[in-house]
Amino acid sequence: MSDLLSIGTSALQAYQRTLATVGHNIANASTAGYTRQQVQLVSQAGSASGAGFIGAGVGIAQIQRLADGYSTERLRFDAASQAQAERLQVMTQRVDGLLSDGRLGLNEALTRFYSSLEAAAAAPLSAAARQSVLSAAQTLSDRFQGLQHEFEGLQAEVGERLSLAAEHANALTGAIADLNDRIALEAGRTGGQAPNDLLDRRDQLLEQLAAQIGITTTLQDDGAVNVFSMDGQALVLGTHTREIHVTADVYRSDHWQLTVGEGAGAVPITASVQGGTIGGLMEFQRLVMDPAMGDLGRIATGLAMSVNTQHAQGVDLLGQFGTDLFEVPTVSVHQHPANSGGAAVSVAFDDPGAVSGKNYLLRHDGVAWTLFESSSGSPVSWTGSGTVADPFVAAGLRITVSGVPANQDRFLIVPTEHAAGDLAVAITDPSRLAVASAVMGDSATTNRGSGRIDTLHVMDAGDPSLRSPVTIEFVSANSYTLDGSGPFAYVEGAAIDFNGWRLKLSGQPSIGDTFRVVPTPPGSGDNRNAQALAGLRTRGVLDGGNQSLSEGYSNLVVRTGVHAQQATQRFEAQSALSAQARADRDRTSGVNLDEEAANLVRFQQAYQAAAQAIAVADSVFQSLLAAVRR
Amino acid sequence: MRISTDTLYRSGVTAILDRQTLLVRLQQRLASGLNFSTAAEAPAAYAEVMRLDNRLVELERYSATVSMAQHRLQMEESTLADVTESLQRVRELTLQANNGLLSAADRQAIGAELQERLNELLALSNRDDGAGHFLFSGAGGTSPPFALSTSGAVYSGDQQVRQLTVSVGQQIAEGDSGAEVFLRPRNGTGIVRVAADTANTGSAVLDQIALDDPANWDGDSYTVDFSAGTYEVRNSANVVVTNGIYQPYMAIQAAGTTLTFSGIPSDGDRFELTPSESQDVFQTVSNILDTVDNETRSAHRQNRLFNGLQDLDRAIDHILAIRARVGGRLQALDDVAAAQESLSVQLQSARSELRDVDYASVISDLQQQLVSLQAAQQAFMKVQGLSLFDYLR
Repeated sequence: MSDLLSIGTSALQAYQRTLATVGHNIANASTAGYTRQQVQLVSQAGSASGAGFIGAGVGIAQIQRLADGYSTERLRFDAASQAQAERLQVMTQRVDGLLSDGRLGLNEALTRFYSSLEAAAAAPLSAAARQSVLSAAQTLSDRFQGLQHEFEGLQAEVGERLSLAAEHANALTGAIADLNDRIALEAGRTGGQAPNDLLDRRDQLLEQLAAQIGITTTLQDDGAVNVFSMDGQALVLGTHTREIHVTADVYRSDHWQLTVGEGAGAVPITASVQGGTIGGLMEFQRLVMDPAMGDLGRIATGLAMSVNTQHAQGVDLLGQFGTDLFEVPTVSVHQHPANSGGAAVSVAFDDPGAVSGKNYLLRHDGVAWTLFESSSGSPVSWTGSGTVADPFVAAGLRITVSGVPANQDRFLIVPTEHAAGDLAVAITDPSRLAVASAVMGDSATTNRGSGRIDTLHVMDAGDPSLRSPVTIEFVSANSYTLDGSGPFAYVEGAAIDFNGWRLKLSGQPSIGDTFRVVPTPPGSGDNRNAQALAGLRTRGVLDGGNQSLSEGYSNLVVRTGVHAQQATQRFEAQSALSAQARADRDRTSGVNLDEEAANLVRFQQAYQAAAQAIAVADSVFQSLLAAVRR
Repeated sequence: MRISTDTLYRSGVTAILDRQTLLVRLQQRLASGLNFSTAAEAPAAYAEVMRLDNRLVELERYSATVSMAQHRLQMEESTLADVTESLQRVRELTLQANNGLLSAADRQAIGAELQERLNELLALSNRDDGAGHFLFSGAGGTSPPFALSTSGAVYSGDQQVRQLTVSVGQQIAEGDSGAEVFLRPRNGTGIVRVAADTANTGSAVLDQIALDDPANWDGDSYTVDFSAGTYEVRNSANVVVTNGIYQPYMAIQAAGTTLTFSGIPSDGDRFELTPSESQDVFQTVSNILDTVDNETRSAHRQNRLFNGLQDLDRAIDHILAIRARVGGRLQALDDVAAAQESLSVQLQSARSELRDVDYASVISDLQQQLVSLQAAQQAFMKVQGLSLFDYLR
């Protein structure tokens, strides 16, 4: 029978629990990820009587967790995007800082190297001027190596961060699977009541996981959540997890690949992973780090090769042809571990203007070799047949293959990623600096005409007769012989090419006038080769001859700067989106202290009223007892 | 619309943090005086500043080279002035020596001074720039370029003059080779030369020689033979080109030249008319010295001194021409230096405009942001201070 006492008692109990829930909300107002809980009161159905249905008080239907699934999911997605944008921004800014730094950057060192060459051209016999060229070259190669070292450090950091993030993600998926288990258990135990705080905890973990790697989720009937990566790989299925592994790239140990799962079921996600810190790190590697290292190496290679080529056209103080001033970087070739054939591949640089800074894949399909661009997979055409005498020539590289390959044998060619670290100065003795040109010209003092030598340059230092003395004799006013052979017609200002040099005469020689081209003796103070070396400042060396080294470096710095600027803008935009998403979620799920304070007042009054009702029930009973006492 | 307490707090704090970030950026700009320190902050401006930096370093280098070139050319100019002075003195001495009334002692004195002048010329040709590099040795620089021998000057330098790059695409020679300066002057009139045969016994002396008709001068060698009061001019194939009766001061015309002689030639006397050749300055002075010291025959002395004067004049003209060229180069260098100076100023100001902070505008931005931050902070405190709990008993 429902009477005032039991009604009052039900009210007391209900309001006690309600107040407890309000108190729980207030206590957790600042807890991250807390979803406010609301008690749903329901009136107890009354029992029938002749006068109508008399109510039986109040009960609690459920303690509802005010969560909006859609806004939670939105928040999670934005958290993933924000974490990715943040990681990309921070790492890109580091690279930008390195390249822009006046002390670490290349710009000043490059300019001072060219200036030192001009100073040596102005004072070729000064030991100090020659030494300062070697010192400037050393500083320049130190800067290249310094930058490369920093880049490689960043690269290693990417690997470490990937491992940490993967570990963290694996711990989170483990915890989520555990929670899936407990939530199902608790729900079962209470006959379908949702374990609110466990759900909150799981949502928290999911958000943290999204910050590591982008995820999507699906809700199962038993309350468990299945988690998938954004490219579709399952990470949590009910209470089972699949782990993310970071391992070294099959070709080389300084790059990484990501897989999900173990053993035969392992799926690589390196190229497709998106979202979170992991997505940000992979994007950074692909978009900023690899191109920057490749570009830096391309510039180093262009510097070494163009300087060496010009240097070899001159002679040093000992009268010998200049040897390499810089050591030319080597090209790394990596084998795929699954290669079963016995092929060996070696690669050298061919034309620095054609070097692209990208990596290439060489593959044998059982019949012939093909070359692909490693990042895009598009095939690259080449000339040649691959032998030492006739190597494959493509993308500024000379590729020689030997041995017998098996079908699907693969090699990764990495031309420039490490080139900047290989750059070094190969000459230490200032007198071995080839400042002078290999040949000199003179005109006989007995010449009667007005002919004079305008310019004399070495065009081909490899010509074996370059340094043989040659006499040019004018057998008439308009024709001359070269060491007796000829005669050739004389055109003022026209190039006379012979034995690897190029001579230009001007004026009008008379019959019998002679000019000579002779080798430059040791100890000469001639400066033409130093001038030509200094002229490399503006000469197009890279990009098919369209870009000077300084322009190449400037492009690298500006491109990275633009990437950093865009990454910052993207991060700021993404942060605004995340803030908006959080505000949306809090609108439904966040605790408002004033609201809870009002609730406290309300339910406290209700509790007091219910207590009063019990007091009244008691006095009613007392009256009844007093009425029947004898 | 419902707002949670968390949202209220977050939005207030975010506003404060954003203002602080802006403030810090402005503060960094003010403290460093630069508008940007990495490429990310302003990529296009950074690239431009980098380019300007490079150009300025280049200009600095060019300025140093210009100074060096000016120094060397000025040294060459002053040395050539000294050479000219010396040659003028030799000319004076030659004129003095041509006076038939000199005594043996006078001639000895003239000879002694000529020898000194020759030594002086040798020393001038071997002058160095004070740092061990010889001015007139071409590109070879470590040993004196000129030495005298009995057969004339020996030049051990080369003809490769160093070009210095003083500006973009502009090179200037820093000197001239010794061969060019000292070995190239032509003798005679520059085109033709008349010399007396050493076996002459008469008193014929060459008085004048002029090239009236250059079109008819064919570069051949001719001989003028005197006998029995007549002259015959033959070319190198021994064909008589012109002949006639000889009279002193009468013009003899052959192959475009006009010759006049004074005095009386003996039979069999011969003069040779040849194209001018290069004759080095030292040889010219040595010839005059030899004539003064050793030539006792009056007619021969006069002829040889006549040749010597012509040769000297050619040498002096040649050196003057070279001095003019050097002057031209120095002028060009002055122009280059002035242009570089003004370009440097322009580039520096362009760079400063891009890179350096405009203090007025940044400071006023800073003030604005400070006010903004203060407002955000105060608003936050006011809003956070309101709570229903304050009113519950």
